[in-house]
Amino acid sequence: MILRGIAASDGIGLGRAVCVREENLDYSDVAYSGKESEKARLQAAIEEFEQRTSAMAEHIRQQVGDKESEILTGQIAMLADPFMRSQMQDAIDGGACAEAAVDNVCTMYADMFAAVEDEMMRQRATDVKDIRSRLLGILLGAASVDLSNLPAGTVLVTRELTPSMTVGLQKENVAAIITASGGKTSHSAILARALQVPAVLSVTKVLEVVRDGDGLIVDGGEGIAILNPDERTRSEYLTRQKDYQARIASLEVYRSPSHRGCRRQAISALCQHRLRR
Amino acid sequence: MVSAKVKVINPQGMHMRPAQVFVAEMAKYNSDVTIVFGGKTVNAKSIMHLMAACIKQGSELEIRCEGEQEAEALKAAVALVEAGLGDL
Repeated sequence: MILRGIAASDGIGLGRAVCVREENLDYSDVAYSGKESEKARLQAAIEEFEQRTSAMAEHIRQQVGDKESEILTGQIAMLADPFMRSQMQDAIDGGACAEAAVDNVCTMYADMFAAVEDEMMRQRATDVKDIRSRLLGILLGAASVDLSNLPAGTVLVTRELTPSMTVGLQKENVAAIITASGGKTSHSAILARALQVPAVLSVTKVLEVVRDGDGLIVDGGEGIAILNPDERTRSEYLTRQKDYQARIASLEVYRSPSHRGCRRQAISALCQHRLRR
Repeated sequence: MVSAKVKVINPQGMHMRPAQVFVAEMAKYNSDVTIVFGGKTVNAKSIMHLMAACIKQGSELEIRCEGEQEAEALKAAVALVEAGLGDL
């Protein structure tokens, strides 16, 4: 089966699916324990969030890069918004438990950002949803997703690639990434490219059709994935993968200091690489 | 209440990083800070509202401060925007 999506990160990956499904953040069983108690729970969860997020940001800064790390430091800044915090407190005063306060206020802000014209600002909706999920996870005591022990040749299949997922990720073991949502400028795309892992995004039904262990081929440059490919397709793509890696390796030489003077050569090689696709 | 008009000069406008710089500075002052832009009035101490206003390069802003430290707040706000919000 051929799955089509948005080409987000070049390269070809072959492997077996590891599906990361969303944790259950249902809080309907949580009973309101009173204003002071709920506010204390919220405060504790916010502090936990800040601590965990700073640690992740630092980890990502070292393993991936400064720009990617700013995604998380930005989230800390957003959660520190005094107006948003007072809205959460007001919700608690109105009888909402900490989970409901977080859910309602974050959803309101996510909707606010989703409605703006500016595409970059619309991305903030994803950040707010990420804040919401992680805060709810902390309040509900849900186990966080641990991707530090993926087998070699993993094709990661998930709704979106969040910054927290990249912490501890051994990118040598990740052959490719497929997500159900996200565009070319989404965090999923930015992170996949920074990790230099082939990725196809917005394959909306991917978590419905793919099971753990399914064989997958991902062509990040074309924006397609092939589910349970036959042997012939596999060997064809293995060849394409080798060709791609050889082309990339041949461009690497232009990064070396001895070639600093050869800008024109490098640009021409890059154009040829692009034309070949 | 004091106010002043400024123009946003940094290329990406009031996106995440400059917005962080702005609200961090404004948080130091005992004063309400609002920005009037494109017919909208935005609470400029709230990073969420500041970003959602989608203030771009070239935007003309009116910064209004009201409170005990309104003069200092306004001075700092204007200086920050004129210097490019740390983004130049």
